[in-house]
Amino acid sequence: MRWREYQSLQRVSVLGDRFVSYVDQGSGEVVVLLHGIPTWGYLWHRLIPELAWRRRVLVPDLLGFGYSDKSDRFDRSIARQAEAIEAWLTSMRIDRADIVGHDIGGGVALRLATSYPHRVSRLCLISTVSYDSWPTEMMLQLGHPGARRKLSASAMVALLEVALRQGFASSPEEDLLDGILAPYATEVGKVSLVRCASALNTNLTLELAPLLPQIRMPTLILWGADDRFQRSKYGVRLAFDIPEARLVRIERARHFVMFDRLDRVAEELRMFFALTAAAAPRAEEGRLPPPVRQEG
Amino acid sequence: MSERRYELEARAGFTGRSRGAFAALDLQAVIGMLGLKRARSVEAHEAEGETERIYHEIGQVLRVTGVDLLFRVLATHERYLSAMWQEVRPNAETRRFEDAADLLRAKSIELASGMPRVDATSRAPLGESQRFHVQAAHALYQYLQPKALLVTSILRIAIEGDGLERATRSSGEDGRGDGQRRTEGDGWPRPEARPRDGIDLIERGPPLSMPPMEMIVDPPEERGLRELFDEVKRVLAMDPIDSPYRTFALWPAYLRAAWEGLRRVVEAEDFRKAADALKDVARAQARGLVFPTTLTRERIRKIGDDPEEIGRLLARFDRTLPAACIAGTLLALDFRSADALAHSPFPAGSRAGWSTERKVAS
Repeated sequence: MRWREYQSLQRVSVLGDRFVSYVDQGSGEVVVLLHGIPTWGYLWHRLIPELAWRRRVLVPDLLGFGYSDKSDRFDRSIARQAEAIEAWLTSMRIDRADIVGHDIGGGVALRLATSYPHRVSRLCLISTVSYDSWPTEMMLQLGHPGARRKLSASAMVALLEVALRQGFASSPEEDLLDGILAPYATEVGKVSLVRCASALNTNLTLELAPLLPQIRMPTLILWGADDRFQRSKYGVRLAFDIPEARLVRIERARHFVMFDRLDRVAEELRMFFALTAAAAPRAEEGRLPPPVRQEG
Repeated sequence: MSERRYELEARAGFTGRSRGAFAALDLQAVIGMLGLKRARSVEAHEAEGETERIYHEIGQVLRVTGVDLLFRVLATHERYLSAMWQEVRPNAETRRFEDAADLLRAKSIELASGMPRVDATSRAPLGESQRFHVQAAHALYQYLQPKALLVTSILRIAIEGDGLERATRSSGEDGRGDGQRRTEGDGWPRPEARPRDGIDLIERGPPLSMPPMEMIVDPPEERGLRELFDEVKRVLAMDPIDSPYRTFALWPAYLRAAWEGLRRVVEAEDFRKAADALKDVARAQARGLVFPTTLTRERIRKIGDDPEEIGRLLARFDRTLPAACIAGTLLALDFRSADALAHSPFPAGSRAGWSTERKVAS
C-alpha cells in the first residue's frame, strides 16, 4: 500500500487542543500498534491486514509524528505520549487493549503497562527502547535545537533515508522509505521531528526498571537478531525482568523486523493472542499492584 | 550587502581581485555589474537577525503560525521590512484592525457566495484525517489573508502619500498630536510613541487550535505539481506562488481538483470585479485604522531602499490578495456554509493593561 493510500484511511480524534490521526481496521478485541522514531503509523501497513481479519487494529500516529498534531508547542516525551494514548483510548471508548510497541513506541507501551496497567490486556515489545538503550547518536544530533537551522527538510530526509537503510536486513524499496519519511519532508514536519528527537529521554525508561517486575499482563518480546539500533541484549534483560515475558529472537532481521520478517512477526502475534489469556482487570483501577515481596 | 538576500548569477570575467574596485560604487550599479538577482522571498526557516525578530513578532501580533507571502517577499528588502513593521505593528495590535480584517472576511464571503461552487471534494474525496487537515488549513488562511490584505492597503496608502496627509493634519503646532512627534533630521512625524489609553488591544499569540503553516517547497519536486504551480502562476500572474497553494499541495489530488474548479471562476470578469470591490473595502478600512502610516516614497528612499521596487511589490499584492481572499473563501465553502464561515475562525480576546509601545530590552 502506498503511503498516500494509507493516509486516506486515517481518521482523527480531537483531544482538547491536540489531535491524533489513526487507522482503524477490522473488528473484535482491540490491538493498538505504536510506531517509533522517525516513523509513523505507516510502519505497520503490512502487518495490519495480517491481524485485522481477527482483531480490531488501531494504529495511531503519536503526537508530533505522521499526521497527528505537529504544532511546535507541546511535550513529545514518551511519558506525555503514554498519557495521550490513554486519553485517546478513553475518547475511543476502549477500556482495555493489547498494546504492541516498536522502538520508542515500545517505550510508550512500557509506560502504559506500568502507569495504566488496567488499560493493557497484553503487551508486545518489538525492538523497543528500554533502560539506557537510547537515544541513538543520530537521534541525539537530530534533537539538538540547532538541527532546525542546519538542515533543510530535504537534507534531513536524505540523511534519515541513509540511516534507516541500516535498519533493514535487505535493501528496502524506495517507495517504502519515501512513505516512512513523507510526513517529515516539509519544514513543519522537519521541526516536529527535531522536537520529537529532543524529547527522547533515557530517564523515562530507567525509572521504569524497578516497576518491570510488577508487570502482570502476558508479555511477548520480539527482536530482530541483527538489530543495530536496539541491541538484542536489552530484549534479554527485559525478558528476565518482566515476569511471564517470552523473548523471541527473529533471525535474518534487523530493527524493522515487521518488514524483514513480516510472516514471523504476524505468526508470533497471532499465537500470542490466541494462546494467552488477557490479564484480568485489577480490582483497584489506576493503581500499581503491591510490590513483589522477596522471601528469605 | 548582508541585509539583502541575493542569488548569485555568475558573470563571466568577474574575479575576487575586482571586489575592491567595487567598494566605492553605488550598490545598485554593483548589483547590475555582478549580475546578482534578488531572492524572491525569505522563508521563515531562512530568516536571521532582524528579519527573524520581525517574523516572530508578526506571528505573535497577527496571531498566526506562519509568515504570509507578503512579508516573506518584503523581507528581501530588510530595511523596508523593519520600517514597515515598526509602523504596522501598533495598528495590527488593535481591536480596530482585528474588526477590519473580520469585515474583509465577511465581504469575501458575501462576494464569493454569488459565484459558482468549486466543489473540489466531490472530484477528489478526502479521508477523515485529510479533510480535517485541509479544513484547518482553510481556517488558517481565512484568518490570515484578510490581515495581509489590510496591511497591503495600509502600505499602499502610505507610499501614495495619503497617510502623511492624515498624519500632518492631526499634528499640533509642535508637530505632536495623536501621540506622534517629529524626529529631528527627517522632518516627518514618526510613530515613536503611541497613546496608551483608550485603545482596545487584542491578545497576542497564535491560537492553540491553529495548525502550523505547512507548505511544500516551490518549485515542487514532483513534476506534475511543478506544472500545476507554473499554470497557477501564469493564470494568476503571481510568482512566487501564494502560500495556500503550497499548503494544499500536501494533498495533490485535492489541489488539482480545487484549481480545476477555481480556474473557471477566477478568469471571469465577475471575479475581477469582486476582487476590485474587496480591494476598495480594504482601502476604506485601512484609512479608518487608529494610527496613520507615514512610510512614503521619500521616507523609503531615506532609509536606503528603492521606493519604485517597493511600490511594484505592493501593487502586486494589492492586485493578488483580494483575489486570494475570495478564492480561498470559494474553496472553504466546500467544507462549511457561508453562515458558519462568517464567524472568525480564531476570535481574539482582549489584552488589558498593555501599551502599544514596543518593549525593547536595554
